[in-house]
Amino acid sequence: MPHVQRKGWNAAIATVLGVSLLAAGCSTPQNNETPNAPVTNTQGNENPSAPLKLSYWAAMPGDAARLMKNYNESLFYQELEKKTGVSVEFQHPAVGSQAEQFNLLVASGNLPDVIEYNFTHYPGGPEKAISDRVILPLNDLIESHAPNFKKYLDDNPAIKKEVITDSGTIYSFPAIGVGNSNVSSGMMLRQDWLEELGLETPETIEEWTTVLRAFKEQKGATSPLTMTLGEMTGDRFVGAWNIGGSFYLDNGEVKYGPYEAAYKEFLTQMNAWYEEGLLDQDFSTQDNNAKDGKVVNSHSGAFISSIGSGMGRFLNAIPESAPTFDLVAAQHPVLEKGTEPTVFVAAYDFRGDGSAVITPANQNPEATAEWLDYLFSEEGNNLKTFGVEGLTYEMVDGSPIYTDLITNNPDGLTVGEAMSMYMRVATPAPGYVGDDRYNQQYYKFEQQKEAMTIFNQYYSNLENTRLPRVTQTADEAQELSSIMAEIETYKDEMLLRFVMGLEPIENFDKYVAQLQSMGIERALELRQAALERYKNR
Amino acid sequence: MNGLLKDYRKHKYLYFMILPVVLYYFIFHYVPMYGALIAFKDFRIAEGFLASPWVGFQHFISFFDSYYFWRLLKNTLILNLYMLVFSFPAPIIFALLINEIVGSRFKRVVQTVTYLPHFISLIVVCGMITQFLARDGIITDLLVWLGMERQVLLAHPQYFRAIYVISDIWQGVGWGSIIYLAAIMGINPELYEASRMDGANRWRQIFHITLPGITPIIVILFILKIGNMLDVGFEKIILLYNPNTYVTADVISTFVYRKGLQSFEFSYATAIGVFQAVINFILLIAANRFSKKISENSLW
Amino acid sequence: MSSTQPIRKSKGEHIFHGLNTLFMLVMIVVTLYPFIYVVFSSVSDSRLLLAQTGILLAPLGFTLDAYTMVFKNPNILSGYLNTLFIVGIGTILNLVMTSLGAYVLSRKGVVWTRHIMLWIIFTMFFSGGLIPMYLLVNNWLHLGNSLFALIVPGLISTWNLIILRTSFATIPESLIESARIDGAQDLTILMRVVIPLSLPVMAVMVLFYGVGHWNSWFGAMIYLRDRELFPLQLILREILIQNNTNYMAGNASTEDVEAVGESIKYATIMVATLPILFVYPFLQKYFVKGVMIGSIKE
Repeated sequence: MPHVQRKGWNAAIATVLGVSLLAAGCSTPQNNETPNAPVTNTQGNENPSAPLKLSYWAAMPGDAARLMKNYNESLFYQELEKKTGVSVEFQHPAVGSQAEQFNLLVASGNLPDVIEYNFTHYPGGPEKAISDRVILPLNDLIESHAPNFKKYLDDNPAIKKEVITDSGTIYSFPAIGVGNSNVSSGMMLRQDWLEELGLETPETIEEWTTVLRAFKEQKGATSPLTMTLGEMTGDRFVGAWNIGGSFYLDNGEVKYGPYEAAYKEFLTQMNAWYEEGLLDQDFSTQDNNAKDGKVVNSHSGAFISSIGSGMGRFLNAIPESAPTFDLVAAQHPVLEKGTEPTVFVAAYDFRGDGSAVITPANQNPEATAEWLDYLFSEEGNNLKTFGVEGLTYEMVDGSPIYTDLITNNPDGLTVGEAMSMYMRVATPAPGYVGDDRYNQQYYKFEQQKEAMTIFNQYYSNLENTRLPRVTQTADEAQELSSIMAEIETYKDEMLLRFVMGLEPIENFDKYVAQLQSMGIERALELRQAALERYKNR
Repeated sequence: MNGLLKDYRKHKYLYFMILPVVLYYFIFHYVPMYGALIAFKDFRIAEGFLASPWVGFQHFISFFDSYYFWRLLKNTLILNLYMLVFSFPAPIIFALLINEIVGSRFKRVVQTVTYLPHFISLIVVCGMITQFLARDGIITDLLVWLGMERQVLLAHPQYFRAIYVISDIWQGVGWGSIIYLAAIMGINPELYEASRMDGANRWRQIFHITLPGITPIIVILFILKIGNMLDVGFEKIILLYNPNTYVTADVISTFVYRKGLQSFEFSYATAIGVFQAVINFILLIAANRFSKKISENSLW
Repeated sequence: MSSTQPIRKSKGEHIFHGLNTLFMLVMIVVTLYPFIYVVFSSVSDSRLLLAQTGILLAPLGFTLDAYTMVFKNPNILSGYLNTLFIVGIGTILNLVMTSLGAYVLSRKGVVWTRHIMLWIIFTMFFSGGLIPMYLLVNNWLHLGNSLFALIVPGLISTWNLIILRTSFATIPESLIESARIDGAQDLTILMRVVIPLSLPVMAVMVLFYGVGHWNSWFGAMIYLRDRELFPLQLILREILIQNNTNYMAGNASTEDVEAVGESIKYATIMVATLPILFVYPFLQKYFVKGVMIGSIKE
């Protein structure tokens, strides 16, 4: 064997090891705390002439992530920088994995200046995040440096109650739903079929039975009502019995729907629909794609869907096989004609998602608060929701109307994508979201606009039936999750067995007893305690 | 110590060669291992590993006491047993059969095509499985034609394991066979020559040369598989199961996943991970010892 | 073994080969389908795809819109470059480290190899979990938000190390001894004797490590905060899970966002998968003919 060869190989290994060490060396300056390095968050107040530069951690929504690498590429943030003089260095986790990265960010202690996240998901709640030194309490800052946000909170005490902690601390610049659009999904039916059969849009469960039966018998629908498992267990049809699919409120008392006597009636009805073939036989296994397929192929005439991604997509793709295809939104169902629905799915005014907090690492909390407060001003909100006049919107009769750049984008972007490219309106972001003036344009079909009105008509009823955004302490949360992991597993299994007729409904009492032995009463206690704290805010 | 010194003199180069490997394992595997301590702590993410309070075996007890503990354990073991019996040998048999293909071009095509499913995202693969097994799915149609009553197989617990294992073979048999094909290629061709001289047919060659030739790798992979009996990846199950099939489909990892959805429970998840690891490691040691006894092959 | 077919075949062998060919044809159809499905879906009209149920035997309509959309995504190009970097550098480092370890651990007669092996296998079962690893990589080694964070922590896969060691161990000791007598040291023996005799399994290592790097996204997901650095698979995953509510926990507070066109998902899969599929046919030559041990002896 030649000697040279061996030497060469040794050298190769040395190089390889060197490279990996070098790699470690190379990237060191990025996170190094050398005083001279231009680290973003060390520019203190002593140098007021230097423009403020913030590091800002935020998850991008999918639409935006497909179009840009960084929020600084969006018109909104470019304009925002021009208006406020604050430049931002964004850090973006991958879409759908913000929770993992957020946890690691907190564990590592290397916090950016601003974090945008849903802090209601923080283990132990936002108050714990403050004591963990992940976020700064903002009460004083908002008092002195956030006039717009302060005014809004003072004018809207109900919302203020949502965004503060149990002890009254304001911790974020939240995304707040304004306008009448918190309910964005519900039941929909084939309007052309209803017309043809001379039927009204159903309101009561009895009417629903009639309509579904007619769809099956006269329109040949193989699965007259289709849904997915998530829709069966959520606050959908179960709401007709004035109970929730999970925790809900009844006269100020926390209750668990599947533990209530009325749940038996709900199960009986669903079982009847299932046995008669009115309810999709595949509801427990199918995914959204399969469900959508049934709607488009006229196998189903009624379903649960959202106004934008559901109804909008269906109306956009009218199938050749059913040229008359038309949809109508149905009011959330009730048992008795003339009563109002009380339980259905809706977003909270305080979205939770998209709340911006200031971290203790931030050297300029006052200036940051002012910057974030701009989003709560009318000017800031307009920029965020409508963009730049003349470019993305025009004022027509006193209200902003999106230009073709947004609604009929020359580059072939969908409305949602164009909005993400130029504004921050489609998903929760610090400031006001869900502006009616935006929704009316985002929903381009008449049927969608009607659906929004119908679904949101009784929104205020949720005040008495929906569990508000309560906070469990860290210990409570752990106990609750231990109990509920078992209960939800059991409840879901039994729900399917009852509905599919594998378990006779007479065994409902046994089922309730089992829930009890699994600790549902304790879970209710924990929820109730959190609710009391919420009420006392 | 004296022995080691003597050994060093004799194998000096080996000591230098293993050094980067040992360093790597020390830095990236042993240094972070302190994290496993949180199985015995009530870990709060911002408080860190030291400050979080000790709770002893609380997380283990809460798992063992769980209403579903035995079901989860049983399902995990049975599913792994099925995989051991069906998924494990499939690529071996497949590799042997590929090796018997006559035309070399056809052989290449078979290899290249069968390894494709490995590259298709799990989300898409499971979407297809669900579609094929729907009431009007193609596999359902096929089974109905063969005399089955029309039903959604994924809604019935008794079929879940079969669906899981068969689809696992479908996804992995081609990819899994690559390692065995490589081992077959490593067999000295002179052995085949010699046996042909002795008049052995292909069948005898498979059993007397090919199989013994790849036995070391089979045994090693088998031992590793045994040391994996308490693990099942949760992603595929989550994409395929539903409460109807929890009875057979719910395994330890999926239960932990569902529990974790409600609140981040690093300590609980770590405790279960430690439990799985201990059992797995014991199984591995036993399997290794057994293999050492009856054959020459062992992991260490 | 095509070159070593016996001249005469028995009747039983004929039947066997017939059945085997038939079986392989079935396997081709069955395993090709998922891929065909993705190809067809990627060039189908999204709207028609929405209505499609059952088996897809041809594209529904034909349009390359989905591909146009995918390449409009500014993350795709940088994703390619990042992935290529990780696969290239990563695989080379993997091979070096793994062969070193496998060679040493396959040597008989060294006092501590068994202990080291056990010490290494132990790490397959017990780990400190995500957070200590993150602290190590991000806070201590300062590799956070760098592509090396995706390479260095996975320099050796223990599973691959075991496979390679098992393969190295089957090489006759006599060959190694005779090289040693010729004056070769261990590194030379590894390079000149052991690796050339193990080309098929080395090809497998290239494939396993290379494909592993190509397909991996988890490290990128936790370590990277700059989308400029995202590898292709992370971009793909973003697009795949966007509409998959089954997969993610439902969250009532998210706004109603437009769905991604179905065909875009599949076009992205194609774009993210096609290049790596060509690696295998390239490596395949190492699987077709065996290694002639005799020819190595000089």
